[in-house]
Amino acid sequence: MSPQGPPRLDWIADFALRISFGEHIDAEVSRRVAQAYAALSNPRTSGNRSDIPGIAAITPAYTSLLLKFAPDFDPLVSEARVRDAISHSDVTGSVSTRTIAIPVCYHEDLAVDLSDCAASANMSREQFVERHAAAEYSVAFLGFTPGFAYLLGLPTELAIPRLDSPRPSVAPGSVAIGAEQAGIYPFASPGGWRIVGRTPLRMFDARRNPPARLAIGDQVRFRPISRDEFDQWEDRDVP
Amino acid sequence: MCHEGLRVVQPGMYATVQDLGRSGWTNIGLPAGGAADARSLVIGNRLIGNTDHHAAIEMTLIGGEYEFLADGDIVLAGAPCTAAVIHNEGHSIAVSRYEPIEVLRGHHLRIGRFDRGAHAYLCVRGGIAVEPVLGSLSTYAPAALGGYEGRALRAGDVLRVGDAAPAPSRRISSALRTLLDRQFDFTPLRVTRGPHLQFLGLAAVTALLAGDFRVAARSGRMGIRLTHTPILTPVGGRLITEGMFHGAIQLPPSGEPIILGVDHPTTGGYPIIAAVIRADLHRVGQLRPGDRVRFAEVSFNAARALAREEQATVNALCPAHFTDTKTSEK
Repeated sequence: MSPQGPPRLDWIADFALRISFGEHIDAEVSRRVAQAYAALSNPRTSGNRSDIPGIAAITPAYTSLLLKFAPDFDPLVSEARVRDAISHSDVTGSVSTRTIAIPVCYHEDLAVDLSDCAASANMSREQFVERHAAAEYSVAFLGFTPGFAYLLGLPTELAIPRLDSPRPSVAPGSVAIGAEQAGIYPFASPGGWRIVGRTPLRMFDARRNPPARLAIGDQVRFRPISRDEFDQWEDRDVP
Repeated sequence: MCHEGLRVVQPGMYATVQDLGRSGWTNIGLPAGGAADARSLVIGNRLIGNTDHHAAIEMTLIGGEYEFLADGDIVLAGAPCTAAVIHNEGHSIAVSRYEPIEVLRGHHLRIGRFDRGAHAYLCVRGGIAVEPVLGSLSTYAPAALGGYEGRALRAGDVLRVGDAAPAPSRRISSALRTLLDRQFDFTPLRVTRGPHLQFLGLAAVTALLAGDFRVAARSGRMGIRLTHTPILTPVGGRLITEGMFHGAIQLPPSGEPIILGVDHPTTGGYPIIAAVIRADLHRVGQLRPGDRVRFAEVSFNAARALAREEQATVNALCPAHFTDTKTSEK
């Protein structure tokens, strides 16, 4: 038996319905979000268009799903069908069981905030890297920018506040920590999270199917690689 | 299938290739994007005989200059602007918004600074032809994706144009022109109540609805920033990151609201105080720095009725062409 109550549905715009599964970020709430997402989205079509008529897009987040409806929809019918679909989602919603290894180079040239992070955690750089790479993460959702995965599972002793003012540009592939959150920047973008490493993998590529390397529910592990391995990888991955 | 249609002589302030966007990818962090003012693009396309989903050039604040490399039919839609076609012999003919015209190879189209509004559309019969990316031709510049090489147009770029369109060009009716001119009247943007009022307090909504705002300079396709009368928030800070949407009005701790645009981040942590109704989203796409903005609240059901009415009016005054099979999806 689940200790949580039923999810809460709120219309937050004339065409947008939010489904909330809890008030706090935790693995159990995240699992319920992923199950409901799987139950509402249609794996047979590209993107996340649902089987339920009128759903144009579904946006998962830490504790909620946001459903956007196409112009011609009946709010009462849609709401009832959504309730019905998610009420059985612990049975019908098949969540990813993949574990994906992400190679990460923790070399000081690339891990520009690693020394600060280690100092703040009262660890050596090596200890910090060891803890960071030993942990098992799970993808709560992708958001902010295409392919940016918000990861749960950062060991609490590695948490560190964001930078006071964001960097104007963070290198693509930067593996980062923002307070209790962990993530990977897929593109060069402004960012206030602390950079502790970099992956040579291309995290998002619109020419691939699926375009994002990670998906909601994936288990993720960081595999430390040397600077040489990183440089060679980069040569292979950039066409 | 397509041919070299036009060359960018000068792209104005910021010009991109846009269609109606790519819905259904917010699960991987990609917003729908597409034309900032989708209604103007749809009407431009319908007048020129295109489907609603044909792509056009979206121009921002200043039009620029384009040279035609082949004969064709064009129409300008969206923001009011002064435009002229310059013939090979040097004489020029004024171009009116929403009036399809024929251009010949070698003609130039010159479009000035817009009188009002932020976005105008240069629609070409057959549509601008670029490689589709994830189901759309739209440029999403933050990820260098779609459109022409994933970026804004530059002088010298040559754009291809499709050969086929389902219908001939048509004339605009006076009733349609009246509807389109109202887009730029100064009337309150209609909003529904946001989901975070427990966090923000009812006084914040009262202040939003009483406020008289100005669009700030740092506004664009991602969002419209409002200044002038900051709302006092009882609590600062962020919420747990959740899904965001076009038209959501975020209230950051600065007290200066941001209306999320078509290229909005798919998730965010600032509380949402209100949401612009679907029927008024085309007006958000036409807000420009310095514009005055006021808000008026409507109920969710009233908002949905207004969206249906808006769509029915546009379809009655300017019907879609029958070969358009994708219209119902957006």
